[in-house]
Amino acid sequence: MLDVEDLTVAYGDVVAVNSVSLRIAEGEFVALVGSNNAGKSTLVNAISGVVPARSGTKTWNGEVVTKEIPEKLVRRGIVQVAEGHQLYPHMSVRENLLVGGRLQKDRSKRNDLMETVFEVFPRLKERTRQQAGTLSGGEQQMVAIGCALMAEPTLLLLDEPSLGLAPNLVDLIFEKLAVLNSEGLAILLVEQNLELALNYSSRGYVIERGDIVLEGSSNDLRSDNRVIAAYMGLS
Amino acid sequence: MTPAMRSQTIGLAVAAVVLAFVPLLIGETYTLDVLIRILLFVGLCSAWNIVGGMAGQLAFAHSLYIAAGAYSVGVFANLGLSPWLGLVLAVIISVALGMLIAWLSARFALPHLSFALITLAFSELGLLVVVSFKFLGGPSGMSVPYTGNDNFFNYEITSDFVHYWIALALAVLSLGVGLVLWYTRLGIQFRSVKDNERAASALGVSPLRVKVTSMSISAALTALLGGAYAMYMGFIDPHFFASPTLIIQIILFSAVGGMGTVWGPALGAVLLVPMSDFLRTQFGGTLPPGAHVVFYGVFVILVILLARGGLLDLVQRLVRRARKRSVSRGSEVKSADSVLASDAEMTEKAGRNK
Amino acid sequence: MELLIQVLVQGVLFGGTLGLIALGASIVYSVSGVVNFAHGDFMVLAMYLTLTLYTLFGFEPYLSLLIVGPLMYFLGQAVFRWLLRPLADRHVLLVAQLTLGIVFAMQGILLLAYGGEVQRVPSALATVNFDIGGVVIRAAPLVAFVISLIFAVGFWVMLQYTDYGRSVRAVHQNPAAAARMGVRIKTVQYRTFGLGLAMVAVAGVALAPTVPFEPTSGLQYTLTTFIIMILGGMGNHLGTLIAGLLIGIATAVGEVYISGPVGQMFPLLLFVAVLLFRPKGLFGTAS
Repeated sequence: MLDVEDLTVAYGDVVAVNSVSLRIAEGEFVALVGSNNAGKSTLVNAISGVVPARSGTKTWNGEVVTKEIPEKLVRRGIVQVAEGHQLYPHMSVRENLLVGGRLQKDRSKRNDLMETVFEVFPRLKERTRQQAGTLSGGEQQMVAIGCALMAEPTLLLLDEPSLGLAPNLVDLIFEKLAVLNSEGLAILLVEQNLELALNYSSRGYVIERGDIVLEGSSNDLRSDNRVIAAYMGLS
Repeated sequence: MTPAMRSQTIGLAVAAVVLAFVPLLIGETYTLDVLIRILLFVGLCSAWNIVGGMAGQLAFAHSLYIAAGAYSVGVFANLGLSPWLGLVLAVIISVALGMLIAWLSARFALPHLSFALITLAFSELGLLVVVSFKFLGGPSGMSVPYTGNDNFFNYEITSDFVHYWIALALAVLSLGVGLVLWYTRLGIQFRSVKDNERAASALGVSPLRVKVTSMSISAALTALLGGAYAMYMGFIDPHFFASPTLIIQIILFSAVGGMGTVWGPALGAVLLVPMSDFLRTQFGGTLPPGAHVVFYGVFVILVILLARGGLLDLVQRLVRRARKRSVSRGSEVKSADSVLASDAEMTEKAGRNK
Repeated sequence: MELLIQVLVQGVLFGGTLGLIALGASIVYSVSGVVNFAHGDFMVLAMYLTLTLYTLFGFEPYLSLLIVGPLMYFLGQAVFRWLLRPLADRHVLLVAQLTLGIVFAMQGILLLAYGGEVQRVPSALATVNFDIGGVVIRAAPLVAFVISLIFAVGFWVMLQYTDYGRSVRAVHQNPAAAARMGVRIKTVQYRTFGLGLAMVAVAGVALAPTVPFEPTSGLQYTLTTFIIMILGGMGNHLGTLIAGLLIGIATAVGEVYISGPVGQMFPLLLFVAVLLFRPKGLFGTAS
């Protein structure tokens, strides 16, 4: 589905992502791990179009989409989940979700989508009218994911969803992600929490200082010492 | 003194000397009148630029300083006192006002637009204040008594030549101050606040001091120019001297010329003062009234849209492209290239920090 | 006492329309960060268009709404798309300066087209008055107020319950997230600017039968709009409407109780005074 070829992202003279290539096939759950400032966020932002790439190509189902703006990519099915606090703080949960589902013009289908989101995150159903800014961290993360789901993605991009969340909430959210994945949603997960990332994903990439240094199935990576080393920036 | 600064200072001095002879060549003609007004606007725009272009504050408050200058000399003249003293008072008032406004802005960390709007409100308030005092002539204005004698002490000048030289002196002063500020530490501090206030204060630059200092200097110069303009006109019309319209024109002239430089606003004045005159008088008969204003507004819009950094910047780019071209004041333009170019870039990047 | 009530009523009526004018500027600001110095001039343009429609076709001024409103909506979209949007990545003050250029251009065009004399738009309602308990209410300002109220409420409803309205709020509260969710920021901005001008046009049409106007009248309204916006809190729509009422009342009080230019100063002085105590406006930093 997604084919990233030699993608480079730079800010002025600083190269954040250096000629990176990766692939995500339909329904895959792929992890992108690495230490702080390794370039994970930049790479994901480049994939979703938020940050422009200096060189390289992105292909989606055969079509070249390198220069497309995020709005267009969303319509194609590539949706990035905003970080937890990046909602519309003064709008209710329901309104936030409605914005996420803007693209769906058919009202009844939109309501169906919202119902689906509430099935995935029942806790939100109790808080539909509550202002998003007053929710707890975990709930905000749920809303963020819910918004992304409203856009009917085929590939979901998540950037550090576990950040600042209590462990039980993290487990909850990841369980849900696993369920969504089993239903066919492809996921690219950026995570600092190595164990979490490799437990749930089937495949992974390790990025260090802008370069992909390792890739393979998550099982293999989990037991690979070099992963830890790369993580610690030791290699 | 850096080479760039030296060459520009020399250039300014040379220009001043050369321009001083102009009235002797053309005599007391209409052209001289236009030139005097150009020089006054060059002074006003350059003075405003210290706050607007260099420190990045879109200040409308300058109409207050102009009014202070104009009315002080007017009042003093009408009271039989020397208008020069009036100028001193005007400077004191303006600096005080300017410091107050700047302090308010820094103290409450007003974002650029709020500051602009608030100074606009002050400007309008100023007009209303002036118009409501019979003592200042009310809505019909105040005229400066004219005895027909030459009395420099009383700022009674019959010869337009002298008015010209005064205007020239003030214009040179404004530009000179601008030059000095630009190339010295103070000016760099100004520009760092313009670019990114938070970053600047993190580096130890005090936005408060920058705002207050730039405003004070600007206010003082503006007051002097306001006074000179009033004495030249002989009549103080509040709707000219105290209204927001004049300061808007000054801002637009500066923007057209290029706000991020020392010379840009002057260029804007040099171009647009005669242009609006020309449109108004030459075509006055054939074009209906209002045409020149339209033309002028459209011109401003086009320049802002098409010429990044203003006309001065445009000219510089053309000059850089045609290296062989020799401009009469070429040395100062070319050697100032790199400094001015980098500042134009800085100005553009500033736009990202909304 | 009767006079006071009279003044208050007058102030509220006028303030309601002022609020609508300021609301137009507020939504534009909240979505695109643009402060349009020509805001008032566009309103004056609407007034002149109303005059033209009346002179040429005998349109009852209030009916002109149907034409002038949509016209200004499309004009707004065009202005934003061609003049303002290209400046998006440059210093925010440059946009302000461009709008200053528009001020001049607009005033000149109006001067050219209509001449400089003060105009009024006649209306069948001009002489109608209501007497309610000793307080005289002129029909025209009342109608203006009602129209403004209708549009303000309509706008509120649109903001809360439509997709477009939610997009507007989304772009205001978190443009980055909105972009990621597929909201077309550009489209929202165009439409909102058009809407802002349409609102100002409505206010202009509503006001035309009640106030005299000439090509340079715009700047005054622009200034008042900005004062209202700052008082109400930049981007706080409800605050802006309330501030509009307050300034309307202050203007009326100033006009009636204090004669001459000092009276005109009253709202400005009030503004300065409030700012000294609450620099972020009466209603602070809201969204």
